[in-house]
Amino acid sequence: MKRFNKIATVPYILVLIILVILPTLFIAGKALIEGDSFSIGNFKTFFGNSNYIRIMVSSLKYALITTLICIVIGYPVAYGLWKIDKTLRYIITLFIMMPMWLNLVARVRAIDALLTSFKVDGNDLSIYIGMVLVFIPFMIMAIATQLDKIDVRLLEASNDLGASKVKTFLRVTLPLSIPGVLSGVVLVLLPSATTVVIPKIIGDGKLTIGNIIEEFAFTNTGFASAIAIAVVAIMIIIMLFISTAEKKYEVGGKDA
Amino acid sequence: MRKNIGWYIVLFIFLTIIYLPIMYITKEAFGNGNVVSTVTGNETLKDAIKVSLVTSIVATIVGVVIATLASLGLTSLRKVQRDAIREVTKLPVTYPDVVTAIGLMALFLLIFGKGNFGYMTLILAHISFTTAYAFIAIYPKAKKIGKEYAEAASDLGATPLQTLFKVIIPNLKGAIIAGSAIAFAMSFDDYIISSLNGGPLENISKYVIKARRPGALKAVYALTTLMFLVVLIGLIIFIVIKITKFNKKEKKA
Repeated sequence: MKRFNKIATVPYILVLIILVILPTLFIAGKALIEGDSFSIGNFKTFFGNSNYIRIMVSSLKYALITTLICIVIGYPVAYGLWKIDKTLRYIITLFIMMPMWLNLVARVRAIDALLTSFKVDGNDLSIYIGMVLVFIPFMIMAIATQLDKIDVRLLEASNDLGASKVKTFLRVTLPLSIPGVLSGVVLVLLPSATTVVIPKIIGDGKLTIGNIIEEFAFTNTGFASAIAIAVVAIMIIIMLFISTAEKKYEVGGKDA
Repeated sequence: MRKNIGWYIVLFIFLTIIYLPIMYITKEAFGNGNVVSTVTGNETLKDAIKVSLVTSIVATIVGVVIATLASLGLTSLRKVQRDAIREVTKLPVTYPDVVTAIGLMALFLLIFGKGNFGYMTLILAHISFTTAYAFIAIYPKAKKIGKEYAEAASDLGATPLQTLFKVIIPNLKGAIIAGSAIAFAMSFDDYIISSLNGGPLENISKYVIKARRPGALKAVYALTTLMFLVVLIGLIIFIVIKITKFNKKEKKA
């Protein structure tokens, strides 16, 4: 049995090595090796060009504002799901997730068609609407999962001790749900900063950093790889920042 | 129900807003004439649907099989190895699509060469992430079953094969279905990984991105409507089955 178990893991380990680790090394290689010598020329080109830096910054701006809107709209929706009857909660949750089973590009086309019919097209507002509609289910699911973990007895205790509904929410529910908001931020922020499809269809020439990588993928793979590395580096910094924040709230939870 | 009427209104408004685009497209598509024949009459689109379905189905099956085997086998590895595997699994899930896409392209260019991009490279590229998504859905459940049920079964004298087919697989069914659903959805949604690794092959995403002329857009709207109806009917059947099962359980209890 033990021998069988070990053999069973081999295909998965091969997939991880060949299709995950190797490509990662290849990106680094393509970005850092020109001809047959080590060079940081690709990075110099990228960081030396104010146009690319501007696109990088505007990608982050789109992603941050999208994430904020997703929290502001997604939190009440997740909270509402938590408050209602269980069977209906299950059904409504399925309907919130359902569009994700349609092809993403087709969904973005549909959003674009609707926005165009309202004459909202090709500006920042249309990009935000597109991004929020596509990514908000992730935020709602992350918050709803966390709310579901809250021990209802804590809310009853708070109520018994004389706290008002608003106070119970602000002092008990909200702090306990923050880890859900943070994992929602990871799920929304990173994909929205690098999305290729949404700006391409809705943006009318407005680009994210993902579009720049795509543009150079065939013609200058080394340069595209260098941008990819810069993106991953920023991504890791953001993830570290969020996981530090998560730990703070976990410890707070244990103290209480 | 009356107590929470405010929340029901909030949820109803939210659902209406997220379904507005798809409802608008459905209205347009039915206004344009026969939805089915608009799709079946378009050869390029039919090819794109075939490419998408073949890629997603093969990549999902291969990914789920590999992930299930690994989930079951992982218990016999040392903890360091298990942790390493779990950490690497997070990479394809957190990497931006476009980063995964360019890494795989660089690798395939070296292995297969520029002219040989096709189904092989496209499906391998999809397997790189379907396997990881399936693993994340299946592994937690498999870990639990492996510990509790498999030991009990072998204590009661079941052979390893009996344990696998009579105990592990039936109990793991839910997780395997969930893993397949996530893997397929991710694969079917993909644009950039396929675009860089599919060579001349065009899937649905690429067709929809390229569609600009009114004729092509008409076909896109018709296809979106069809996909929406298929998923909607599937979802309703799923909900009905779940609720009947739930009611049966209630009666027993």
